[in-house]
Amino acid sequence: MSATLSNYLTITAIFILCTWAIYLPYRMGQLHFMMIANMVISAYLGALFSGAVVSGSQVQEAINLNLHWPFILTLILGVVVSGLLGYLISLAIGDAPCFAVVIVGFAFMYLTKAIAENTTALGRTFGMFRVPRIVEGLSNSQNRLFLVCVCFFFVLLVGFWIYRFDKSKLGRAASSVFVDRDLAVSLGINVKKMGSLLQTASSALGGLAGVLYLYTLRAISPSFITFHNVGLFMTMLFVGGYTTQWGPLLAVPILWGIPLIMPESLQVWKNVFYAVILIGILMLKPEGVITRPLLRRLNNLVFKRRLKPAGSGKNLS
Amino acid sequence: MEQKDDIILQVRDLSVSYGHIKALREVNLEVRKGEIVVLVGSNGAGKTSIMETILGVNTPDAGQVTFEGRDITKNPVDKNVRGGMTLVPEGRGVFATMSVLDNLLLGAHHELKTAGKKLNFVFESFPVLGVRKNQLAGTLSGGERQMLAIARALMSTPRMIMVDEPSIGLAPIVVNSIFDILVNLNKEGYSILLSEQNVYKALKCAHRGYVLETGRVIKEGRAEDLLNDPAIREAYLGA
Repeated sequence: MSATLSNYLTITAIFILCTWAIYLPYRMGQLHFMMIANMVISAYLGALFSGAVVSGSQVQEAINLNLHWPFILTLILGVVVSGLLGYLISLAIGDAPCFAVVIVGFAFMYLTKAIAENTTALGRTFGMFRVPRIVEGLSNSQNRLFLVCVCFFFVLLVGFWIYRFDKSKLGRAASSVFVDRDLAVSLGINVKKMGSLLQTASSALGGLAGVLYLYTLRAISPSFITFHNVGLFMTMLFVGGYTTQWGPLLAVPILWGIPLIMPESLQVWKNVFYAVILIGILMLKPEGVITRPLLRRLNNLVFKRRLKPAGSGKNLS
Repeated sequence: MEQKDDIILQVRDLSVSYGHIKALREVNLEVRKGEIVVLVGSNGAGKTSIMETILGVNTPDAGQVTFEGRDITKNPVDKNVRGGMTLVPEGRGVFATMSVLDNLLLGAHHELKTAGKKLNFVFESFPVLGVRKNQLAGTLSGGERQMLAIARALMSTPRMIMVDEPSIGLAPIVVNSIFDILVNLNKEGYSILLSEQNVYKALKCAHRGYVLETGRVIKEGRAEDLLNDPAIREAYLGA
């Protein structure tokens, strides 16, 4: 497998996970960008615990844990720490309105960036690099293939979990909060617990994506925390469709892939390309390309479901 | 009308404020098992505030709410719904962009294991909902939406149903059928606390009533007596 193809596939898989991390809290109307901060935090943790290094001039002050944890342990650590951070924050903003959650997300993103940029032990603006390969002893090509498989394994696993969640009573409750929060509360749906669950899941997913990203680039720096990445994931979510989990699966490979095959002279315009697509979709199909009614129509088309006749008991109406 | 003495809901000296505005002032009321009790009053009298406070949506400044002998004054809404009370909100509150079936299942959010059984009961009670179960709730008529809101309330297996202004914005013939549904539910054993501006209709179907004005109970008694009260006839029935 060529380096270009494997890079495209792994980043696509990671960005699908990132977009799902934004999709989950948005199920109940919260745009939670803390997953980006968590992604970077878990990547730094992974770098520290896997034995990555900082640039030469900062080596004296670097934290040398000398642990050389294997991939799976750093992955678990990243997911657990990110989930825990997300949970702790959700205790304060679990039921907060969308705008407040956005502000908290941005605050954490730039707080994380400021800490990373000013901590010598984390390599300051250069970050950390020379992260070990995911499996030592394999060739470059085998390692890339293995990484692609690992990333898509997690896409399948997380995708299955989100599918089950969307079909569950919690998924239904999250949708009801999105549609009418006050009415949902009057039915006894605990908005704070629901927000807490989704924000924690989003943060843990951010942590997972962060460690995978770390092992793909084999380096991490604070430059990942940018408004551009927020815009990128939001574009992927809103263009694909924010009402179902399938939207990101369609949008991420296309939106991530097209700029890669653009002529070099047009590369500088790729943000304009994203902006035009986002504005176009918001004007023409505000719910995105893949919507629930579309899925329902497809479902009816494929399965031709028949309605069961209603019962014939006591009629109160 | 037959009444039983067991009190299912008791509200004592309940006061609620929204900022500086006093919405309820020392309200006392009770609902007995198997009763329909109606709250009547004009807009802003405090009918919805009473129901929302009983359910746990609002935190009272003072007073006590007991349900089946348990103090539920500071309980959150989910605990009260699990405990056996439910609210059919004002304005035919349904989730318009969700299917009829999803709306109904949301009513059984806390007890999904028995949802199948309850769905059968609801579809038997309201056949039109069975026929339209895969339709979006927003495509139902006003009367069907109100039926859906009531049916959704039944999904939580309540012992007391609070119904907030069910007739608002509905055609007279639909209002009649909604009141018939409430009376039939009461005959099935549900206690009902009803708030209504259609005073004549409400008092006709209720056992007892409370008249509210600017957050206070100004009169209470048997529905028949209230209906024949000259002051109420003049204020609310234009007679």
